[in-house]
Amino acid sequence: EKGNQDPCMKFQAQMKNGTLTCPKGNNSSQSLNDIIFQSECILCKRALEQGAPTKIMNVKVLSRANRATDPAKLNCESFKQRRKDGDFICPSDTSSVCGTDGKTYRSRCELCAENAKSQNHVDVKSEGECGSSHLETDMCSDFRAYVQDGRLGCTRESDPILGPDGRTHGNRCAMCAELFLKEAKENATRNRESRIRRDAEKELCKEFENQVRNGRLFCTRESDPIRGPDGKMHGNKCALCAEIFMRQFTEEKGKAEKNQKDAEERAKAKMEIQKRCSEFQDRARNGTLFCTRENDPIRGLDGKTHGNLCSMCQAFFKTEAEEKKAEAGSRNRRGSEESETYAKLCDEYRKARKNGQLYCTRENAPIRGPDGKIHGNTCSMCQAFFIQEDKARAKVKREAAKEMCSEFRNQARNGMLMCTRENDPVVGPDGKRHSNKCAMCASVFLLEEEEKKKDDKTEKVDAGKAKKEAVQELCRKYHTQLRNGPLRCTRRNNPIEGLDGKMYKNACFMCWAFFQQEAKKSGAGFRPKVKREVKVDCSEYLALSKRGEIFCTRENDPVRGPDGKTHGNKCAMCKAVFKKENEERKRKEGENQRITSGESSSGGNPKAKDECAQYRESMKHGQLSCTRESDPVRGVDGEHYNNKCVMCKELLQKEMEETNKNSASRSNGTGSATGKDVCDQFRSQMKNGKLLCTRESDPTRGPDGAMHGNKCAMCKERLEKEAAEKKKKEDEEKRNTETNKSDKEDKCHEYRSMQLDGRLICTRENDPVRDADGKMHVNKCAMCQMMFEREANERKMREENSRSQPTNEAKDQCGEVHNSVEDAKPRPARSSLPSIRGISKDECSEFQNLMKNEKLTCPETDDPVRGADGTFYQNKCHMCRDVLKNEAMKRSGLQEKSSDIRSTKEGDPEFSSSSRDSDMCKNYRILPRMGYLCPKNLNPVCGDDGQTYSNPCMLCHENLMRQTNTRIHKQGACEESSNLKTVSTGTPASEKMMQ
Amino acid sequence: GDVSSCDNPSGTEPSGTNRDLSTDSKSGEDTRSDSSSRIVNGSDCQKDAQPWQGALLLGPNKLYCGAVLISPQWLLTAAHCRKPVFRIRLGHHSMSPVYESGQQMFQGIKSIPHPGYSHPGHSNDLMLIKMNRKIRDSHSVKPVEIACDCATEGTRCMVSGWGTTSSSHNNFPKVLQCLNITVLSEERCKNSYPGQIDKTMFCAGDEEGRDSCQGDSGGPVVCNGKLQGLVSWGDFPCAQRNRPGVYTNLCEFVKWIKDTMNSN
Repeated sequence: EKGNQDPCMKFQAQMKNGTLTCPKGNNSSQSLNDIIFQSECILCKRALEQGAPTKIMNVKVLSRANRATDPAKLNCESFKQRRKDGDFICPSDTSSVCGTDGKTYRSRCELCAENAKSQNHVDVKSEGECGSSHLETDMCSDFRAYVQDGRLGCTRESDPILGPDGRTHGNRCAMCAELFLKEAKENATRNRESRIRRDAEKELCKEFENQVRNGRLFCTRESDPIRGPDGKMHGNKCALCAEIFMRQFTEEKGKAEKNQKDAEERAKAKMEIQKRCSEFQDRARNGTLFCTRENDPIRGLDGKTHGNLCSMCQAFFKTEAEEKKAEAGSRNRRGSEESETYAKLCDEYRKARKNGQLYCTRENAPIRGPDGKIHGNTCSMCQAFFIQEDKARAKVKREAAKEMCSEFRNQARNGMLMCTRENDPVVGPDGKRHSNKCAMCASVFLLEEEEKKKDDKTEKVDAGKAKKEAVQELCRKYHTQLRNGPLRCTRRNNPIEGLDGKMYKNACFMCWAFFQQEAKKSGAGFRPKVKREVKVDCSEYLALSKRGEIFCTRENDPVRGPDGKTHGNKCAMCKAVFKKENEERKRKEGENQRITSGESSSGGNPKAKDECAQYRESMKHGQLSCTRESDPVRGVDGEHYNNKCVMCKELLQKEMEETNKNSASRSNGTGSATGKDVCDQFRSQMKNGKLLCTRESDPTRGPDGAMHGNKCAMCKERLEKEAAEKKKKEDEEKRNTETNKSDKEDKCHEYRSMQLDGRLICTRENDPVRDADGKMHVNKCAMCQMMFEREANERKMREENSRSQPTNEAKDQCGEVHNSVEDAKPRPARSSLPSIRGISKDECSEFQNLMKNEKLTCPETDDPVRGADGTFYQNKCHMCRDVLKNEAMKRSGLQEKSSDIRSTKEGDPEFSSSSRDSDMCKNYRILPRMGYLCPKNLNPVCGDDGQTYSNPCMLCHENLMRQTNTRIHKQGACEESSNLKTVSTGTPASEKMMQ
Repeated sequence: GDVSSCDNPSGTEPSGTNRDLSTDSKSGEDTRSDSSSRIVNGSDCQKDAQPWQGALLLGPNKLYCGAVLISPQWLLTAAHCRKPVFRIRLGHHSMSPVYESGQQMFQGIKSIPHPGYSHPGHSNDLMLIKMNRKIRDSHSVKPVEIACDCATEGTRCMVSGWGTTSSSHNNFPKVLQCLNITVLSEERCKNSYPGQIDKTMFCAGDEEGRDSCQGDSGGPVVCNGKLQGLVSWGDFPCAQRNRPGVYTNLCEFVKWIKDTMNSN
């Protein structure tokens, strides 16, 4: 080796970039030395380049020394001198480093020693320990799945990559293959060492194994130093073993946790795959799935690679199905094993069993039984086990028996089977020996029938209980009545079957029997005692009760009454008892009356009849007069009366009421017939609602229950009543007719025929009457006159509105003016009026055409003439001018009236003005035949007729006197100058009248 | 149509034969190698002995896979050698990028891997590459014919490539390396790699444990003058006894290769 080493050292310097260039031996003239040199060069070239492990170790060292000149490189030269026998002796307490292969070395020296040992080129990656092997994992994670026994098959393309060990590999797969191989070796070595160490520890600590509990060993405290396999010194052997056991326990715990974690991860992966395979779930049949053939490689749960998702799921479902089968098989096996276990466990108790019963002790040793429950101890568990066993055995036997006897079932009738007599002995399910199969089956059927009957009996008992409950429910409503003594039932026929199977008339009777039966069962003797006590206790108060009322003292002496309540004292209790007794008596009487309602009323109340017979004849028209003596007596209804007459009075009145009701109901059917038959013979004798009767005495009861002297007297009263009713009806009709007549009279009916052409001529009497609109008129005729005139005016106005000829209007207005003037002038100088009217009409017509723009121009000739209003004018033209002007003003006034009417329709304030006029006139006194009493103040108002009045009262006075309806046009005097004369003329007239 | 049909086998063998090294120094090396065991996984090929050998390059001096010329314009290589761009060098002998007479450079314009190729299992590991132009036929560049029949156990073959010559270190040879290997039985192949061998693969190795290695993928395995397989995968480290190399069985893909070349 040394000889080999020496020749190559001289070639080391010639190497460049890891390659050695050797001269070629082509020249034949080379000397021997040259040939030898060439051979040596070639040999060293291969050795240096290929790195033969054993021969070129020193060369590697030299190569590494050359690399040491690089400051970034690991410098192992300084550790070379300390080498012994090829191993590095490294000093301790040196900082650790992380190599490029991902491992942690305690020092750089150890890293160099490892490199020398394994001929690697690991360099220093970083100071300190390696955090993790991320690099290796990241680079090789995708190859890890394909490793088998640490071996990885690689493709053979060239993709040089520098590995963590500092070497260059052909491709990534080759690098990872080497890493995995190394890893596998290390794992194997570690496992081997671990096994050796564990065996040594076990041998050493054998004597302490029994004392360990949960990895803890309690030791004595002597000092006996001993070196353990881990190189540490321990106090004594026990302490050493304690540490060993603790470490083992910890390791096992960690392993268990790791297994659990792995199981969880596996379950998670399984769940994920199940989710991905869910789309194929419905297509799987018994774990078989048919897939397409496309190539989409995917790794399955079993670590294999499948062609596509479908084939992976196929394998998954198949595995699941197989697991299910295996589990089912194991479960069945486990079940049978458990059963055998129970059988073995309970053998010792089988002998103790008697007639299917097992008597157990009471100790508490919980154990799970075959039914899944926890039993107190083994004995009770075996008890349940035996019961289960018996049931199963009986079931099997019963089924066998059914199978055997199926051929005879058709012949069985009510559990009876007719058999032949041949002798063919057979053992039945009950363990007995029967003469033949038919006899055995007969026995089986008989037992079945008995069981059925038992079931029926049980059902009957249940039915009976249910029925009783139903009856109790039905009779609950009668329970409250039971307290007041015996139960009183109606007599209607509603048959119902009772609890004892009997038929009762109705539910009430059945419940009464039911309650009696229950009372017999529980304390039947209690009731008579209560009754006796009541009688004895309250007898002293019976005499005190008057009219059903008892007045009690106020001491406190509690006592329980028969109704179960507690009363303040005995007196209060007896009061309640008497009250209840009275109520019962009343109810009984009511029922008796109801029962006998079908019979004649005279049949009932014989006592009343007997007592009151002497008063029946005294009754007249349902009234009975009684004397005032005081003779207290208790009536049938339990009330107290002053004397017998008063009692009979009330009784007879009640009878009459009932009789009336009966007669009323009877009249629907036979009442009228009876009346007809009885009184028909007297109907023809009536005259003017009167009937004359004879005086014989033949007492007869009428339909109203009253007694009459004879039949004629009864019919007289009846027929006269009918006649009175008829008369009353006729009177009502007359009254209605009179009302209609009076209505007509109120509306001026009597004057309507007297009016001619809308005008009414009235008398002059002074009989003031207020109109409907509140105005006062001299007499009724004047009021109707005003009304008729208003109607005529309205009619005319309606006609005039349709007409549009002013000339005609003017003419008509002139006519009206004349009429009003005539009406307004009730003076003695009446003879001159017609001539004046004619003059004005004939004379003014010639001036009509001369008017221009409603103005008349008159000459100034002096021809005095008196006008219609009594004023003197200069000439005729002036008079006609005023007349025509007045007409125009009246026309405008009519327009105002129209506007007033329109305002009235529209609800304008002018209507309120009209109302004010009416209200205004109410404030003044009216004297008969004199008119209004007016004050003498000067408050001029202008009327809508163009006249000025000294005050509003004067206007009312004029309206009353002339029967006009002038309204206030405005406050103050009228603006025309001619009106001043009128005013002066008017004032003397009113003064004259007042005087 | 350039590839002759398997129905009309050609009697002519490709030019160039494999000859053992004759120099004494070579013999001496062989002797030492044999005695030292797995020192060398092959020997230098004689120039122009493998005119169908192609090299796939990532850069001027960065070889990563081998290839085989099967037609004037088509190469065959392993499917796992697929790259976006293909630089192809034919008619070259040495590893260095120095120009040699007879060499031809091409660009790949189309690559068609077999549709059945699956990465984890390496089934159907072959790929066709179309070059940008046809070759210029010469004694240094010639296509090889694909065998129609599958190789039988014991057949002698030659595998060649520029892959690393030592498994522990990434040492690349100076010139093309050649190695004589023997086809192994299917049973033995499956015993060496249980559950990983299918009909698209076959094993071949050397009794002394010599083998192809990283960098040889896609290279040719020529038996009796016909292309029988392509370098595919194997155990690492390479060249272990009873751990032979696994090669793509091309006799299963003759029809696919012909149809694909005709339709593209």
